Amino acid sequence: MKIRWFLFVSILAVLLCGVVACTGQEAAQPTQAPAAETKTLIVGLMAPFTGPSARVGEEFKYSAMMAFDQINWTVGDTRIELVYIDGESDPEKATRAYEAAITRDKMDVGLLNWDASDVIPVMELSAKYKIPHFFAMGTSEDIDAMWLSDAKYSYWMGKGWPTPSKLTINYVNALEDALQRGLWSVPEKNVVLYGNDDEWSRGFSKAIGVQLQAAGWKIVGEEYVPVGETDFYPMLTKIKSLNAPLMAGTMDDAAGFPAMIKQAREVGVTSLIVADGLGWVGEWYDMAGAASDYVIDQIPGWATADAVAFKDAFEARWGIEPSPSSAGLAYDEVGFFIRVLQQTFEDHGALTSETIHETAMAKMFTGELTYTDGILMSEYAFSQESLPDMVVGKGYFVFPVIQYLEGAGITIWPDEIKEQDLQLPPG
Amino acid sequence: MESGLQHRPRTPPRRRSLLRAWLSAWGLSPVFVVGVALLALAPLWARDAYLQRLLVVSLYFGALAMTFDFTGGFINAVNFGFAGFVGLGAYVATLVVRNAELSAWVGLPAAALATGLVGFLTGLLTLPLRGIYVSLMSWFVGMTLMALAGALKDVTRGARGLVVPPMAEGITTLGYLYVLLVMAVALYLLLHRIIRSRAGLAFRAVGQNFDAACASGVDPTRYKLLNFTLSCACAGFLGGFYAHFVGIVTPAIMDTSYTMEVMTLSFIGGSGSLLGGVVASFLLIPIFDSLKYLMEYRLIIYGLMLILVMIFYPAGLYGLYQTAAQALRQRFQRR
Amino acid sequence: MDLLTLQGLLMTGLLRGGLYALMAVGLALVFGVMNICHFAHGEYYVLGAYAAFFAHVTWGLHPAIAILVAAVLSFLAGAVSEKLLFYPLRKLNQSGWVMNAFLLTAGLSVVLQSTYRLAFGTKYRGITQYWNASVTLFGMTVAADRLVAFGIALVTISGLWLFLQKTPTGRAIRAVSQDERGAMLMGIDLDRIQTLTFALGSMLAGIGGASLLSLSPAYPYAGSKPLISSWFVVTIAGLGNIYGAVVGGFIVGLFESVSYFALGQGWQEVASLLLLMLLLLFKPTGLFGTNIKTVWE
Repeated sequence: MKIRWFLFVSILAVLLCGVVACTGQEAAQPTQAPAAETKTLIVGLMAPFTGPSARVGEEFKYSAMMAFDQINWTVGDTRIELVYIDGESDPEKATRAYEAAITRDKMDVGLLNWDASDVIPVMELSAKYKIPHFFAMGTSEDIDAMWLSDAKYSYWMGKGWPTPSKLTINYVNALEDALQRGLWSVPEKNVVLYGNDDEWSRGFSKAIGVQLQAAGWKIVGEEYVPVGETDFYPMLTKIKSLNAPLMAGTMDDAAGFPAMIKQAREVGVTSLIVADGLGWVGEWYDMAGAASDYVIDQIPGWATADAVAFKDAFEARWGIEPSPSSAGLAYDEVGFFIRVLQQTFEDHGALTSETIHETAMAKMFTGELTYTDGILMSEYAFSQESLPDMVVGKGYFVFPVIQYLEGAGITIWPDEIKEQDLQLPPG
Repeated sequence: MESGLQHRPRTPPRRRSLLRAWLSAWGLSPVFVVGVALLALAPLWARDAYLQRLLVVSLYFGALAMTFDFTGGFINAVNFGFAGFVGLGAYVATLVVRNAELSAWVGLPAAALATGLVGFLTGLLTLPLRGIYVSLMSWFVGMTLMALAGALKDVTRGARGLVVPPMAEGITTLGYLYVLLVMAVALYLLLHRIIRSRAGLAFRAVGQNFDAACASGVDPTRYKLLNFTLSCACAGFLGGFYAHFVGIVTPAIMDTSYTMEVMTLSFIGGSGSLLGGVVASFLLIPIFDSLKYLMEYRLIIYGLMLILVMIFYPAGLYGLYQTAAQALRQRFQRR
Repeated sequence: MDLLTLQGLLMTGLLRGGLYALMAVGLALVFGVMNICHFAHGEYYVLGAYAAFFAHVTWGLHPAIAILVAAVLSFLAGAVSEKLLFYPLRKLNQSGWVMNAFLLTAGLSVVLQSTYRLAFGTKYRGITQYWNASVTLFGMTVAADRLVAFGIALVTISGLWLFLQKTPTGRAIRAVSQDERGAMLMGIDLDRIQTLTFALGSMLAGIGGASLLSLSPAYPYAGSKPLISSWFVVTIAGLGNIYGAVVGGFIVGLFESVSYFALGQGWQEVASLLLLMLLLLFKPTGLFGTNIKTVWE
């Protein structure tokens, strides 16, 4: 009996301390900033902060904080306040959190997101409450179809990541180019597609599959593994036996992907490997090692001095290595968002959901207002044709095709910026 | 687990009025009536759209927990593939609406039918099994359903999921609340009616002591099948609602973590009580939603709470209610 | 299918099976002795992986020592969890033990995952390899890490076998798993045996996580896949059958590698599940399940 009470009381005490500590911490924040007379704009930053994709959420959050630090959290006479919307990679929970942010936290404008399946129901809410939402990264083509179907979705202020097919075409072009120039020769144009069994990988395979077929390739196999799998010997043994000169795919499982690449060489797969997004998580090379040599990816590098400075500052401040495609892209898109806010303030003198929506419609969607101070792309812009995606292509949103050598990505495509030609793995 | 049986003859029959006997036969306990009335009057006190959504979600999970308890709390077989059945219902409802272009009022019954059928087959599969193996078998069935939803990509579009149209043109959150309320009340009346009938006694007998039940002439096969089929059909019915409410179905909704969520509610609510899970759901979901800013701490609190309840109060909320009711009654009787 | 591919498949299946066996044996042990359906087993795997990472990378210890550190730590963590959670549960509620204990492990799994997330963040802590070497077998260049992990699995399992067969404590554990009441009457200290068993089970998971660090990095949510795989194995073998779990591990490993080859495209999952269901149907207690305790009631 004594043990029972002792345990119960002690655990309860610890629990209470925890709650008090956290609530105290949270409650302390608003008092720091006197909310007296200043106007505030409440920005809802949406991302998976808990659950398996929590890493992305963390990088988004830190990048956004760094971007808002740049402008001292103010635009004109308005102070920016962030509320965090945890999508938990679950459409139902995401919708609930989003509606809470609108009705409870009085959010004025939404920003970013990661999971495509969250976007569809959340888009409905943004239309219902007329809350503009900027640059959610869900890629699925369903989003495009829905966006185009009804003008009410114009509150969904553009996608932060283009539809896969607009990016996958670069691989096809790069490879076809290498074939034509005799840098690479294949006995038969056979390709194996691979990926995780989820929305992102399947969408990618579908997009690149169609494009490869159009370029005369034959899909001889398609292999999917569940998220969380780290032993790829069985899948790779099969891929090896198919004997295709090319394997292409992506995985959003940051633990499995490097393991897959490592094991591909162990099993003796000699194909050229397109591994889209292998470099998404900063620590990838620690896990993949030299086996990643000659693997092809499409990822913006920390190319400019500004980009490198951002990367170093990020790492120094938060202790994790940022990835260009989540932390870097989020940083740029928050920058673009700030630019829209500044323009809105100039035009209307006030920041509200309505004025922001108006300005973004009138200036951003028409291509008048673009963002050129990014660290990854030379220009972020929209055009009537590209909507809801950004303009993709040379000089705009473009991921260079790179080939890894000793952990560094060397640009091999497009021609204008390439550092060297496609290299083939020895043997 | 046996608590339900022990405490049944609560009030001496002679003091029971006819009305009360009738009410209790239909399961219309005061808690239930007040709860339904409160929900029905929701537009008066829950104007906030978020609050309304929270009510829908709490009711949805509560109804799932109730359905879950119908199997777990009575025939003592935990359907660990529960989320798979809910997801199957969601998919069937969606496909009926999308491909056959019928309305949701056809889709939901179709979902219930299809899930009930698969539930029946699962019941057949688990017949030779005992104890934990029943759970494992249903878990594998649930996971198979999830794997199929991913692999049959011509029908389900695989992991990319299906977009589901709203249940009716221009339906609001309140509209969904009323639809779900009607569904949940109907399910409750049905399940409660069955529990109170001979079948209910048989369920408990099968759940408590399989061999003794056989010996006393109860045909366990029939009752096990009946129970499984019904609870799966209910799960599918609710799943169909969910698909319309959320607007997208992906195989991810069949994940075991959802089974765990429902199971937790059902056990914290009190096994063998039907309504316990609903009460737990209305308590826990709003609480944890309001603790959202705690991020990971919230999950730690959740886990610790589950641990504490299991160690110190495994009878759950229903047990608490019974103890309190007992104490009150004794007080009154003494006076 | 040519001979080389067949050999490759066999290799693959064996290597995969070795890992499964290591994970599953711990699970089987915990179930067999304590009657706990352990759903936090994967979390001890992650603990082992973290421990090995910090020991090997941060402190620069030799891989073998790092794995040893991981084993010791997960052993201790297992012992502490048993004393703190399952011991009071056992003292307070005898009825409904299986269900309560199971839900308790579910809660424990959530708590541990979130704690890792809080303590270590979302960083992926992985290594390329412990040993920079490889062996060519049947046209496959198998990394030394995989072979060593396989070896560790075999050695650990044999060690456990010896312990259970030859030492008095081991025999006591087996006695408890066969007949708890009888064992108690024989004067076996049940509390000690239960703690020891849980600690051993956790240690096996921890060793698994540590020796596979190059395959799956340490991060908060890494435990779910190994957990599900080991449940597969344990079900095939028969719950609580420790030796069956070893054989079951290899069966599942081989079957999966063949079904990937023959089906693929996401259908391999369906195949494994169907196999399991068929097996349960015709052999409800698993392949080697004999006379286990009546669970559930």
